[in-house]
Amino acid sequence: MEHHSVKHTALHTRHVNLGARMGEFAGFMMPLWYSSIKEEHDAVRNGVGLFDLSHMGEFFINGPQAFDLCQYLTCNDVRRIGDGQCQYTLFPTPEGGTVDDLIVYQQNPESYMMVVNASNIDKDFAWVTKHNRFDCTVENQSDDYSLVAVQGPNTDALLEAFGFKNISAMSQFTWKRTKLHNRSVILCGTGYTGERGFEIIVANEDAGWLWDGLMKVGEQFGVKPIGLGARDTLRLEMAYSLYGNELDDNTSALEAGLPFYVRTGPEFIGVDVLRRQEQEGVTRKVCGLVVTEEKRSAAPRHGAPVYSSEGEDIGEVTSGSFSPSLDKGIALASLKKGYWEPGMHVQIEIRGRRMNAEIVNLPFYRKPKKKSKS
Amino acid sequence: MSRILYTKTHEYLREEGSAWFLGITDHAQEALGDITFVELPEAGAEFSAGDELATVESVKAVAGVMAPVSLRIIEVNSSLEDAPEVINSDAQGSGWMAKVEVMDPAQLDSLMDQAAYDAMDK
Repeated sequence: MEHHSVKHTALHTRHVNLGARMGEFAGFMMPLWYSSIKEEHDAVRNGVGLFDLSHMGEFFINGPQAFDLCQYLTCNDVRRIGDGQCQYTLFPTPEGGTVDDLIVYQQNPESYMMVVNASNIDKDFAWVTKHNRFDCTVENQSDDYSLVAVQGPNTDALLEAFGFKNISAMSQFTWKRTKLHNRSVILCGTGYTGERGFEIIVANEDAGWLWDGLMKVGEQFGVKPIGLGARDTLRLEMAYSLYGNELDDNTSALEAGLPFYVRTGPEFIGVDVLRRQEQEGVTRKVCGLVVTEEKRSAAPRHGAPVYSSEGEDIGEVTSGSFSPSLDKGIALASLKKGYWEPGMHVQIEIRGRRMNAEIVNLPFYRKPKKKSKS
Repeated sequence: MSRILYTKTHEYLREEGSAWFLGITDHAQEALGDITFVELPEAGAEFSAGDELATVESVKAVAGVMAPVSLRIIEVNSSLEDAPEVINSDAQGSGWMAKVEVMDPAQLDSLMDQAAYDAMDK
């Protein structure tokens, strides 16, 4: 059934009581920020933050050929992960576009979970169901589950204080189903911030228990609730793609600058186009830009045109923002071939004015090296 | 206390002697969030009521600042170019954006006083 009313997550009242500025995102009323995007951004880089990401979608794939279905739908190679591991991947289209980007979690070769973008839940479920030629059970349980992300260098200390055992022994991109205080928890070593972190999936009725417990135990670690505003600046500093910006129905994983997640050994939907793009190269690609104006300047935003130093139109910004960690404007931009080399000077047009910018290596932000003990 | 007048679009004009100080209201800075950049007009520039005379950017949003009435810029608060966050901490005080001359004082009648602005549905 299709309905257009805005959805609330199970934690909605808590956000309102925390004084969050709420806004609509992907059909959900979500916290954009609580105190300040910059403060929340810094809390995740230096301490620990809690995100309500219950808008995200969860699909469960089961059946003797569940592995085959996942391999057929996605462009990364599912053989590269074992039980209890997960991988970032994409659903390519046969025409060279992308249906969505997602994480595939392997419980065993007959049982998988997929976590997909909130804005694409219906489209993705239709896609997976339509291409389910392996007779798997595919369940969309997005409305039944809540997701709370814990991200930042103090994550392990917080989760262990809350009661999770041996968190520091769990690597990123591993996951497990476990129980805590007699409640079922799906504990995933994943995130969208570039920091150490976990995403914790629980039934909606347990969301309040999880959030309140982490907030309370987290006091000693300076935990802060984090809104979608800081989630976006954190992911952009890491150059992580956002579907609808870097990726869409007309952009392939290679055009989005994600060759590491394209493994064209196995057969899958859209493999022909990706193999051809690997051989012939792509004509446009997402690259990173940093504004190099001497004075503080306007930040680049989605859709801003980009010009070469000779004034040629070479593409446009897909995501742009002021970067709290770098204290300057940064952008991902889809640029035509010939303008991908770090160090090249280009210009971004912002409100009619052309700002100097430079192509840079990604990610924009790298964690400062820990000081060695003297 | 000096007279302060407001627009529906969340600018204020604060009277001080014969001049007026213009900026965005405390409500506006709160709605925008962390302000990262301000683009100010040139001293001497003239604007008609409703013209966009400056831009304020926060991490997530870009907002135009409108001339509440027809005015001429006497001076701008150029310290905001390096410290735009002052608008967050003191929007209606040291976060002023421009000192202006009001061209036609009769136009001030169209603006809201404190009580009317407080009562406005924001």
